[in-house]
Amino acid sequence: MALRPTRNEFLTDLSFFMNETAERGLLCVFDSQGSGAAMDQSEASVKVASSLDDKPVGLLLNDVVNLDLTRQHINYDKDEMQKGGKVLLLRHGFVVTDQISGAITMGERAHFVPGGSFCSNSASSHSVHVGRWLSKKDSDGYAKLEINII
Amino acid sequence: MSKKFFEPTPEMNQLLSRAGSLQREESLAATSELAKALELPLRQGVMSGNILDGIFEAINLQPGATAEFPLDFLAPGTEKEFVAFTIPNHGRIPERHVEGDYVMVPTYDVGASIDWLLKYARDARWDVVGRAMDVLQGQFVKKMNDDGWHTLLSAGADRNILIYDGDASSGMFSKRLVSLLKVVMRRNGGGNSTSINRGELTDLYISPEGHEDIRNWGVDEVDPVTRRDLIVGEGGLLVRIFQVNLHTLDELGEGQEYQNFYTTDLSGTMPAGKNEIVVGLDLRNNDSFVMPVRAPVQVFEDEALHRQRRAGMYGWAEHGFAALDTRRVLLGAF
Repeated sequence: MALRPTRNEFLTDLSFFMNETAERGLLCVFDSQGSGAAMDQSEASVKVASSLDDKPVGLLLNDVVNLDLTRQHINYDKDEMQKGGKVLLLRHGFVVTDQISGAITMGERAHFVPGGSFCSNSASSHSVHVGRWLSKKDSDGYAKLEINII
Repeated sequence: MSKKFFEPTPEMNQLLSRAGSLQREESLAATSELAKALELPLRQGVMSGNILDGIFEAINLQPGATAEFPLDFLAPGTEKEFVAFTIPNHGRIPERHVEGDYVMVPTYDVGASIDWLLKYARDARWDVVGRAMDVLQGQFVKKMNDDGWHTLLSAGADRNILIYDGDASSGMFSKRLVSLLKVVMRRNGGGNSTSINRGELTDLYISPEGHEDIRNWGVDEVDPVTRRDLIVGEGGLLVRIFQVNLHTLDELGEGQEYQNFYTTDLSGTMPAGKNEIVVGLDLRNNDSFVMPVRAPVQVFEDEALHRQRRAGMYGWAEHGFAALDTRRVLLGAF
């Protein structure tokens, strides 16, 4: 599932394209840059974080899939996007996610790791911080994570 | 099973005789009429003479339609995500974003044929040809029975739950087994005590041997009056226990094909001392077992057999089976 229903999408961004498949709940970083408003420029694209030095854009709220749309249609019952389309990114708000790497501690800053999942401040190596942990993991491995990318 | 459909009338005898004519045009015309005459009862027979009745809901698909079935966004195990919470005097309530999913049930073609010598038809041996029609019907019935029940058994085995009465003797069907099945169906069906449309065991399919075990229930199982009824009553057997309908299936039981399918094809395991499975279903909600039908059974005359001095019919259908919610199936053993 990657994301539980409960969330607060305080600020989202829908101006970036994504050219790879990914599961929702991962952190996306800049891939290539558009110019100006760049609302429909394919150059304005993001990718799943692959390095600690990546610059964060937002938490992915769609599943990005790669289907042969000439043979089957996209899953209309799920909020999924075809690879190459625009994705919705959460820049400020909170989600309940299981895209977590290692142990976390409530109240600590949240960072991302290569692969796009999130870790705690006490992880041995981590990125710039992108939010804060607001709970510990539940029995299914989900925790409440505030995203605040400034 | 379907003798009533094929009892010959003088007109049918005449039709059959003409079907056996050595004049090709006359034979084909009569055979074509015969196919049409037999198609409707054959369809009825397929749907009413099988062991899938009342379980699968046949859904006729329009041409070009896809067999897609949406799933409830409230998936099993996610109920705890949807509980109201305390809020302060003012403040923005968080969102509860829901999405669903769907499954596509593949449909597939099923074909069958039967043919006979023109001599049979010419001599109006209606018993032989009628029997051939029975066999043609039986081919479809058997195929659909197996496909439907294999779907049910697979769904039950997939749950990885097998209920049994540990106190009952090996191979003895006990009424406590029914009770245990009811409780587990309820416990694992979602919702709470007053939920609408919650899971409930309504029908239980057992082998004839298991059903006959009821006759041997001792005074610790049933009262003497009931025991007497079991012996002298019309039919002599209970057909309903604890509001659960009992059905017997010849295909269930030790060494029988659905038991073998469970143990061999599905690699299902049996508890120690238990020999055969029972299948419990929740048929109250009608929300799980679907049978999309893209094309019902159609029967045609075979024009190519005339040169071989034979006549025959062939037919096909296209359908599929699915158990959309496995919580509606529960396997037990005794």
